[in-house]
Amino acid sequence: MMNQNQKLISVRNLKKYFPLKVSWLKIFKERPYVRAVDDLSFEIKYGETLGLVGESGSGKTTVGRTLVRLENPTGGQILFEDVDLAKLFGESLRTKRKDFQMIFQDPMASLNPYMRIGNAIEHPLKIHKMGNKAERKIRVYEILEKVGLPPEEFYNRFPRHLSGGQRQRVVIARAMVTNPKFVVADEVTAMLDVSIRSQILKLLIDMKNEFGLTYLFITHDLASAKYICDKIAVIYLGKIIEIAKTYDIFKEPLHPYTKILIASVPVPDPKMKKKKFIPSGEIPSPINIPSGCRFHPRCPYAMEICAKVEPELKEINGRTVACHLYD
Amino acid sequence: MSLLEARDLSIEYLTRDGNLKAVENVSFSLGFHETLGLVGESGCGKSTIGLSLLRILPINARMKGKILYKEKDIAILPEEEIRSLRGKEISMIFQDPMTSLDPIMRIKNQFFETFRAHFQKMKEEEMIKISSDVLKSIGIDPSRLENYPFEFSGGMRQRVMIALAIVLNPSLLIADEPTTSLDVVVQLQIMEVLKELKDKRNMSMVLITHDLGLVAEIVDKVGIMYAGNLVEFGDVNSIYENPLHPYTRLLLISIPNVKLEDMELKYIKGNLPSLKSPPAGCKFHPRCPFVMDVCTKEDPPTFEINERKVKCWLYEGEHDESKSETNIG
Repeated sequence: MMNQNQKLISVRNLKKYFPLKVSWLKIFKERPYVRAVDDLSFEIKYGETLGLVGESGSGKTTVGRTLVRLENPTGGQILFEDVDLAKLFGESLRTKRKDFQMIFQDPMASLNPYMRIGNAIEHPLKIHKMGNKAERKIRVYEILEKVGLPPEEFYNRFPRHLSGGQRQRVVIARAMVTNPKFVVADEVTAMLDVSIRSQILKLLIDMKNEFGLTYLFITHDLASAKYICDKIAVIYLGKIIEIAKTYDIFKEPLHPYTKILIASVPVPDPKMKKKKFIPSGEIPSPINIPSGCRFHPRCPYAMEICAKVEPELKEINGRTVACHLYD
Repeated sequence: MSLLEARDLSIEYLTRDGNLKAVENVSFSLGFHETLGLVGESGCGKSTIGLSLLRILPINARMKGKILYKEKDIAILPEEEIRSLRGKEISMIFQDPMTSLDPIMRIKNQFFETFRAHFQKMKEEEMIKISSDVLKSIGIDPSRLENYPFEFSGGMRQRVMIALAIVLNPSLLIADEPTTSLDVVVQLQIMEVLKELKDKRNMSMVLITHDLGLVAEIVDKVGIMYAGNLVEFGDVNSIYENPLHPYTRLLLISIPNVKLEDMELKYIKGNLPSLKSPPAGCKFHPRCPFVMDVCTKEDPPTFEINERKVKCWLYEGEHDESKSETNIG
C-alpha cells in the first residue's frame, strides 16, 4: 500500500486570497486582495520531507494552514491520497483531520495553560473517539516516552512548569498521537534556544523514521532545512520560484533569490570577512505585487523582460526554476 | 585605560519565590573602538548585563560589583550624572523596534526628544539638520522624518532605532539582539549598518546576541555566557579557532550551516538550567560531555590562559597565574 514513489499530497494551482477592508464608498470598485498564496503547485511523496523556505510575508505559513484546512482555499486542489481536501467540509473534514496535523511556532500559545500535559495530548484521541479511557492513557504514555519526556514525571504537569524545548516536545507528541500520515511543521524551532533547536530537529527526524511520516517543513532558515528536508521549495510573495532536491539546491542554487538566501546564512568564522552581496530593500507587500517577475525590483540580474513577463516555474536540465535567466 | 570594565558584577532579581541570580561574578573589559559580543541563550544574563550598563534595570534588581565607564563607576554614579550619560555617551538599541519607538509620535519628534534631553535650547533647524544627516548615513531618506513608526517596514524601523541611538554620537553603543526579529536578508543589511558604525564612526559596541554565527564577522572580543556566568572570554579569532569551554565548543558545532559535507545534526543534550534552582557545582555539568567528579560539587573559578579566561575545571593547573579574582586590576 505504501509505495515510496506514490504521491501522498499533490497541490494544484492553490490560491488563497484575503480580502481587504474597503470603505463602503468604494464598494463598486474592484476589491483589493492580499494574494498570500498565488497559484501554487507541488507534490509530496510518501515518506518525503518537503521544505518550504521563505521570508516573512512570503505566504509560507498560509500554504501550511491551507493544506491542513485551517484556511479555506480561494481556488485549486489539495489532493490527499485520492481525496480533494479543498472540497471537504463539516463532519467529513473533521474525521479526516486525524490523518494530518500541524505543529506551530510558539509552543506556549499552542498549549492550553490550564490543561495538564497528559490531558492535552489525550485531547485529539477523545475528539476522534479513538480507544477507551485506559487505552488512551497507554497511548499517551507511549508517545510521551517517544518524545523524550518521562511520562511519570510529565503526565500531570502544566505547560508553565516546562521549558520551551519541553513544551515543543509536548506539542509534537500531541500532533503525533493520532498516528497521522502527514504533518505540517511551521517554524517549529524559531522560538527555541540555539542549543535546543537541533534537539527538536533530531526528534522530528526520529519520529518520521519511526512512524513513516511525511512532512511539510516550513522555515525561514535554510540551514536547518538542510538537515531534515529531502526537497526544498523556495517561496517568494506567494509563488514557488525554485524547487529542487536539498543537495542540488545547496550545491548549485539557480534562482538569484535562492542564492541570496543561502549567502545570508551567517558563518561562524571570523576569518570569513568576505564582501557579500546584500540585496537592497525588503519583501514587497502582497497587495501590490510587482509586475512581471515578483523578485525583479530586488534582483541584481534583472533584465528588461523581467519587469514585463512573469517567468513560469518550469523544468530546465532536470531542475525546476522560475527565472528568465534560464530561458 | 579601557573604555568599559565590569568587575565582579553580580545581579540578583528579588522575586516572591526567592532570589534569582541572573548574573554572577562577571568581569570583562572593553577598549576604545572595540566591539564585544556577549553571546548566550535565554536566561544566561546577557540582557541583564546590557541593562546594567545604562543602569536601567527593573526595580527588583540588586547589583553588586563595579561597572567602570571611562573610570567612573556607573553603579554608584548620582542619578543626574548617569542621566547625562544615557543617550549621549552610552546608548542602546533593543530587539523589537516597534515596541521601542513611540507609535503615535512622528520620527522627527522622537529625534527632538533625544536632543532636548541633553540640550534644552537647541534650535529646530539644527536638530533637523543633524537628524537628516544621521538618517542619510544609514540609508533612510530624510523626508521620512515626518512619518510615524507604523509607516516603516521592520528593517527600516530598526534603522530608525539605530539612528536615534547614534544621533548624539555616543562612544558606546549597546545593541541587544538587534536583528532577532528581522528576516535573514534584512538581518544582514542591519549587520552591515552596524559594521559601518564601527569602521567609520569608531564607535565601541557591546553586541548582545544568541547567534554565534552572526557576531563572528564584526566583534573583536567574545564573552560566552551560561546561566549567569561568563564561562569564556577572549579574542574572537582564538575563541572560534580554539574554543576552550565545552559549552562554547558544543555551541559552535551545533549551529546549523549550509555546507554540504556536513549533514549530521549535532546538538547539546539536556535543557537549560532553571535560575531558581540551578545545579550544584558548575552549572553546565549536567549537559557536559567532559564532566568530572569535582564539577558536580564545586563551582569552577575562572582560569586565565594566554589572555583568555575560561571557567572550567578542565583547565585547572594550566593557568599561568592564580585565580582571576585576584589578578584583575
